[in-house]
Amino acid sequence: MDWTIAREDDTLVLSPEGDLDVANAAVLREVLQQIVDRRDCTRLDIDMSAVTFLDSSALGVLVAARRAADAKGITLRVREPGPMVRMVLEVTNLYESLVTG
Amino acid sequence: MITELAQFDHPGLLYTTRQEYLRGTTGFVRSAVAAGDPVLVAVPGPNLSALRDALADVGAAVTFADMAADGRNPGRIIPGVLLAFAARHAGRRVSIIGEPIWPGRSDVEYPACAAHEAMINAVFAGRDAAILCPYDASGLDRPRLHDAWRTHPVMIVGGARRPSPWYGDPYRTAENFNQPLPDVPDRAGVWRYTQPSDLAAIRRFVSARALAAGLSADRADDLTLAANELAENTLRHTGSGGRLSVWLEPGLLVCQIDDHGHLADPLAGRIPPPAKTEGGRGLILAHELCDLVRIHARPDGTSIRVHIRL
Repeated sequence: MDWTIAREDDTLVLSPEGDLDVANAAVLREVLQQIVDRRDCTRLDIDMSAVTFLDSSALGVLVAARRAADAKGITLRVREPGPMVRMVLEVTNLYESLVTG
Repeated sequence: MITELAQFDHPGLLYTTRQEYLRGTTGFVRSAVAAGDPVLVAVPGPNLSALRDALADVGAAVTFADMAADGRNPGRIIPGVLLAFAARHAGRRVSIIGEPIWPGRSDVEYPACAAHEAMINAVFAGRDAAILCPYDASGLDRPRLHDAWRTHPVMIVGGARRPSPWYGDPYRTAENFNQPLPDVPDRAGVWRYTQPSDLAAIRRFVSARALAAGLSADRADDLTLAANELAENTLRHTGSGGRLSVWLEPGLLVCQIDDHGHLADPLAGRIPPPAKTEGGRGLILAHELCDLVRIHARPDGTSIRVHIRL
């Protein structure tokens, strides 16, 4: 999994690229965990615009990261999902809690 | 003060004429509306139009859904139709007409439909709900009508309720519908997988076949995601790999996973996990996205076949 991290004031923007699946869910989990543990942002946006595939394992990592971020007072949101990612979020009823919630 | 225990009522309604259908179903809806219950009517197209017309005066209090679309895959009905409606009205008794079995259901679809009817009893046990299931007694064959007596504790025949002498434990009943699938045809394209890094190739393979079959990009994505989830379950739950097959049938693109695991729980994939739970969404995704998910589970292997309509 390739990704970039950018800072906009108090917001960190993590932008993963390519397919997010069980093969790289562990990497995604570690990157998110490090950001959340560092606590040097109040908001963490995960920009999904370059993500071409999202499976239930990687989705589960996002759900767990959201919970961990909540516990540390960080607002985690998923933004700019492409059609495939949006479909997965909608079918699993997680669009509201992860994107707009 | 009298505390009423939550009670689940799951009658099957045998009907032979349109008149009998409307009498049994509209009576159920009208008393639920009068009691202030949220009401869902999920029946296949022609019956849906007839019920909409017959219930025009109370229609504003009723949610209508086409079971031939929303419940095309019977494995999606519990999570996507019934529990979804109950969740929208949490804390209230819900009344639902659900007609998941109609004469056009194919022999490949049917065991999944009957297993679904059995599992409703397990999922809704202790819930405050009523689900009335109409069965077309003039269009369905005798074995399928007999199955209705096995999956419903109570049957309504000629307007009268009767306890079913054939109703039994839902898990044991569902096991009766855990039946072998027809053979994978020789013409199927086959891909084997043994580790997570194989899944990208599985996705490319399924996606190419889906697009070549003429599916839209969205539907090809649906099948690709479903196949990926099923293959991922093999890798997560078994010590070995699996085999994925894809082939065309008239009007359908079919995909099957065969592995050496044992998917023992007939409720797997039917109960949506809470929004904050990390796992448990793989099989649900397949149920939501495909037009059929048929599972044959054995102690030494599991086969899961999914359909996407062309």
